[in-house]
Amino acid sequence: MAQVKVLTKNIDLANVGAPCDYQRYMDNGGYEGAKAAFAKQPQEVQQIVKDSNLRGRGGAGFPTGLKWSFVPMNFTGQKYLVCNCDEMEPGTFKDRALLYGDPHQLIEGMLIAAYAMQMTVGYIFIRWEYRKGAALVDAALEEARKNGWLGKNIQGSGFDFHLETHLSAGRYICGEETALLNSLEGLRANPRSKPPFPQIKGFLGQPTIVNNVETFGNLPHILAHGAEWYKKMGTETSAGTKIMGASGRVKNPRLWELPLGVSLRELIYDYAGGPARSGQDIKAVIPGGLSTPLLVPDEFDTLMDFDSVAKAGSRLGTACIIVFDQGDNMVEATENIMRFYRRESCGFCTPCREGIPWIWNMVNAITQREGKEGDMELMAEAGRWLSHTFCAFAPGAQGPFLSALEKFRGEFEEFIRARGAA
Amino acid sequence: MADNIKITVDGQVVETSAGENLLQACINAGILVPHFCYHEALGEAGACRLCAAMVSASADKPARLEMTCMLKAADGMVVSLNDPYAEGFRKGVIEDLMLNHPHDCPVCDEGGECSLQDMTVTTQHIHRRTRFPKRTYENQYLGPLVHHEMNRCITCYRCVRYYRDYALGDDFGVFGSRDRVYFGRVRDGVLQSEFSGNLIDVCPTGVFTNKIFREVYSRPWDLQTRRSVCVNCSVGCNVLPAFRHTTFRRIVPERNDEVNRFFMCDRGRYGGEFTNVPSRLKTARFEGPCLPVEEVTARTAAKLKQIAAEHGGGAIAAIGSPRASLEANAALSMLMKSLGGRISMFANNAERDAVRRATAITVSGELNIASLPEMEKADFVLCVGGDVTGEAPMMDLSIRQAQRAGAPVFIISPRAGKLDSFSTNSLRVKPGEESSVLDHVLSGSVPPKGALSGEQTDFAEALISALGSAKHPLVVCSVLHEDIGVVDAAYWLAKRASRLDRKCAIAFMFPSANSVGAALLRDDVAPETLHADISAGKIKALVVLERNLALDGSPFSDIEAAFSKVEFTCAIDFHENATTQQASAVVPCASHYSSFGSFLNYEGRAQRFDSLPIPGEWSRSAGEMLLSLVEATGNEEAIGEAAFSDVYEITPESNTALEALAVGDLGNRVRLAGKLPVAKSPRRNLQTATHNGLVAWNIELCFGSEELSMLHGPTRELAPQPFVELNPADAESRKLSEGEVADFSADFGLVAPLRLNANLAPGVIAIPVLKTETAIVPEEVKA
Ligand SMILES: Cc1cc2nc3c(=O)[nH]c(=O)nc-3n(C[C@H](O)[C@H](O)[C@H](O)COP(=O)(O)O)c2cc1C
Ligand code: SF4
Ligand code: SF4
Ligand code: SF4
Ligand code: FES
Repeated sequence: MAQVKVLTKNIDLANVGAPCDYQRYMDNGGYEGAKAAFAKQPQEVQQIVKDSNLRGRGGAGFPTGLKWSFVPMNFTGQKYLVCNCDEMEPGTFKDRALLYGDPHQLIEGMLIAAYAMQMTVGYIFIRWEYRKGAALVDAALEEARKNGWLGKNIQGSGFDFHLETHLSAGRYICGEETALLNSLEGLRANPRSKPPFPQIKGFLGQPTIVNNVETFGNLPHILAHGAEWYKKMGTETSAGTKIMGASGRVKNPRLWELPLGVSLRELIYDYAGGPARSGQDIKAVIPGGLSTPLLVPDEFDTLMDFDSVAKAGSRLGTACIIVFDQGDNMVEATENIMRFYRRESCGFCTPCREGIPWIWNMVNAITQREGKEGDMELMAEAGRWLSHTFCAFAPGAQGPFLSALEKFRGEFEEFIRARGAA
Repeated sequence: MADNIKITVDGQVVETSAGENLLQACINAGILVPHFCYHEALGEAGACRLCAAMVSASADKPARLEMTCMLKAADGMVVSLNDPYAEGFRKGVIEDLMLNHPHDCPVCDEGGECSLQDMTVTTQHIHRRTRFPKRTYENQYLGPLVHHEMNRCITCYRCVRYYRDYALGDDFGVFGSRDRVYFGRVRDGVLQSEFSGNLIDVCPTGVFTNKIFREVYSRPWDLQTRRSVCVNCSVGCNVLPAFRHTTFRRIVPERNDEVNRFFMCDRGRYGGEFTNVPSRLKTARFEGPCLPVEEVTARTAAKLKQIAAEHGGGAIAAIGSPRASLEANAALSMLMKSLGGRISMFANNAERDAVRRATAITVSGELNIASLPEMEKADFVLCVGGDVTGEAPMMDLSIRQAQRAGAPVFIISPRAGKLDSFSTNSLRVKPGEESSVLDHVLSGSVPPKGALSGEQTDFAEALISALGSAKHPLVVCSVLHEDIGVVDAAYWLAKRASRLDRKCAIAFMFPSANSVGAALLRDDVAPETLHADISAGKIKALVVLERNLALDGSPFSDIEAAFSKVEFTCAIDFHENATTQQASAVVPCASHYSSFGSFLNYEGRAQRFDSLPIPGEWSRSAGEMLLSLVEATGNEEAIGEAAFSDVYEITPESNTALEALAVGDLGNRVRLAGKLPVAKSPRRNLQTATHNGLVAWNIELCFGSEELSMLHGPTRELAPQPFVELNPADAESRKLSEGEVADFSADFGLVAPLRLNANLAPGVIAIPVLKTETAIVPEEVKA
């Protein structure tokens, strides 16, 4: 499949340079989606998004239109719109390109969503490491305000929308939408229990929608060209295009915009150029950021869309793949992965807070050639309970961990046998 | 009420109401669901993950592992705790929690009452399978009450949910993240909450323990306990005092669903240390030498009879006590009856007027008197004329719950207390001026120009509007400031605010644990009349029951001088104090927590407490001591069967209400219309004396103003040093500045460092009530 240019029509993914400014954005059909939205009733805009089959690009792939439909439209108090640009998922840098390359696309997308749900205040929650990007967005927000795309009575529509950036203090868990809301409120970044869902009780207890940067990025195009046009891209259940990426042991690590449903093999070998090191074949891929189970070569024909990857036992996640080759040691890789989760756990619930460090301790001991017989069983047992935690963080750690343990059993056993050798 | 539904838990059908927390529904049915983070008062958190069970919506639906605390019970739900997967998961949770836990059980303070210990045994986690080093934390100094041992923490977040979310404290919190979560303060220091001791109970492990108790540690199973009622204020929290051998060890709150339920205040928890005060009276004295107690009672009785014979009953008087039981006061009354003498129940006339009036309102049955749980449900709160935190601490905690639930809190008083930081509207007035502002609310009309200040009018108007829309309004009023005008104003407000569709509840904060009980007993003579009679030499014999006249606001500031005018004085108390020291005869009695008897709390709720047969306890309850005195006067028919008939007289319509009262009951609210007069119309406040442009206001402190908690123990440490407070404007006009030692000896009899307080009404000098008396060590202890 060929690359497409929908979300990236103003961005060169090979070299994200200066952001597309207001003038260029307008020259290239900017704010047409917003104009189309303002010409319709909010409910009609919601219906178009529903009809487009757009699914959330934050990782879970939840249908955006359905998510929006839980917002009580007859609610008269303040409702909030939040953009999740925390992007701390290891190996994932797609939102970064959208943020740095085309901030107006994000602003327009949020404006459309805000109008559709009649939310008059919005925040863009940005990863601390992207603070330069946040400054670019701030400049774009200023341009948008100056040109009447934000603020009061936008383009004479009678609709008001106030949008601001918020820089995250820098924790992976801040990307989890309810922890994000706590963090935005100035509270500890612990997830909240659901229900109530943010759509009912979110930011400051008010109805709130949190969507990913890329999710918002799709909206101007859906509104400008229609749901039918949009559905023609991608697969039947995963419509549209996706910013995909590759990092790790590939010749050409970077991002591409591709229709959903491109095969993993094509992504690895055609786009990313195959193995980076000669003689070292690719032996595993984490398909969707770090928090998804590993896929091995005989699974590489899996198509990169939400349902196909799920069928293969993993998740599409962010569609930014992390690639390992024969020269990589999966025990050491697992140690590295679990070190990350150990560091980033918010510490709220037991299996994650205590279980992950224990697992890490065991994996670490094994890499130090201090593994013991029985460690694998013990790790698997502790790993098993990670599915019953308070939020999706620990299941995210469980995916790569248990799949590595299962698919690279031999490597672990070899290390354990080599006890005392290091 | 919610619909009744049925759920099935491991085959057992459980009835509950729809929407009840599933975990609580199981617990209510007597089914143990292991849990840590859920707490009935604090709700669910979903943090510990121990309450897991397989749950399905109905028998034909697939079951999933769920946290029972995070679900609401729904009809037909099927819960399986015994499912092997759920059991395995719970065991895994315990294993996770034990990875870093110090396996200190044999020497840990919490051992024997540790939830983690229980749950570890329950889930049968018996094998340690980790080989990695444990994490450790540094502990903090949290003040004299609570000891901190962070290594024992299992991160259930109960403490912080209690301290911050429930009790609204802000000097304790949770820090850090991942596997380095820390519960404590920003830095070492005394916990500022008056309810910090509850951390000990909410923490399922031994992170927070009772600092005093652990000093001389005892295993909980070695303690002897008997249900009792706290003596440190008029709320009457139910408690479980514990003794080991002959010494008092600690107090923990005991659940009474109509009173304190789960918690108690620190004054009550630690105030019981008075039981161990070194000045405990262990021997009886008669005109000097220590004698066997029977000898002293016999001689005292003889002396009283002799005086009665020589001078007539009119020369004999007694002073009862609001911190003594109904029974002891009644026995004293009986003694006076048998001698023809008179009894006085109060410290001074203003207190008498205010307490009697508030008691009349409380027991008349006309208005609803709010229990603590009812206070929590109030949707409007007005506090009149005092400082709830210092005067009835647990009422403060209940009002905080109402505030959390959205109730507006209005406070009108001369000085801001801690509750003011949660109030919607606070108004500072001069002492006594509360009534004029509330009168405006009563009439609901604009007062004549100039009658109220703009600020007062705004407050009154905001109050009228908030009160108007409330369904469960509550008025809380202080009696400690002895202002009958304020009591009447609060009563009239509550009365007028009660309509057909709603009742306005009221609650008075009384000076002592049994103020209401004492006020309902015989009271023949006003304190100031009695004092005048004493000064005039008309009183030849005086019996004082559990009262230190030096500290209680009696007109007897110079006890020695007063007693020297009386031929024979007898004091009955459990510890040596300025009063016992001056008495001709001293009869020791058991201290409160080893006495039996009953108190009537602020609601008029009669609650019985039991004596613990403590080996080596040297005295009997004051009531029993007094009965033996009555007996020794030879007036036998007064005792016998109806030993405490005077007590039961206060419930003429159902004598049995008190008689049948058992220890551990929820308690009976005594109601008797017409016993004491209720004000016929709102009345004006009393004129308060102004000196040098200032009116005095007593600061009632949680720590410092209550006599017994100031006798001994860590609560003394928490009391401030003497000080005086002025509004900055008043200080400026007197050229006084913060920290300066101000001399108010001419007008107010004190010299103390000055504090400036912008939240004190202008024209008021605030003086803390500090009931400190230099500890008196009895002779026989010194020897
Ligand atoms: C641990 C964790 C981290 C997450 N981080 C992000 C993130 O950085 N960006 C993001 O968009 N979604 C993240 N999510 C997903 C969000 O919770 C949420 O599902 C998403 O923002 C919804 O947006 P969408 O519906 O547009 O996909 C994370 C989820 C978890 C459990
Ligand atoms: S799984 Fe639990 S500890 Fe881990 S991040 Fe989520 S809430 Fe926090
Ligand atoms: S200190 Fe106690 S109450 Fe607080 S989190 Fe730890 S175990 Fe729970
Ligand atoms: S509120 Fe009063 S009765 Fe309750 S524990 Fe405190 S001092 Fe005792
Ligand atoms: S009690 Fe349910 S998770 Fe802790």
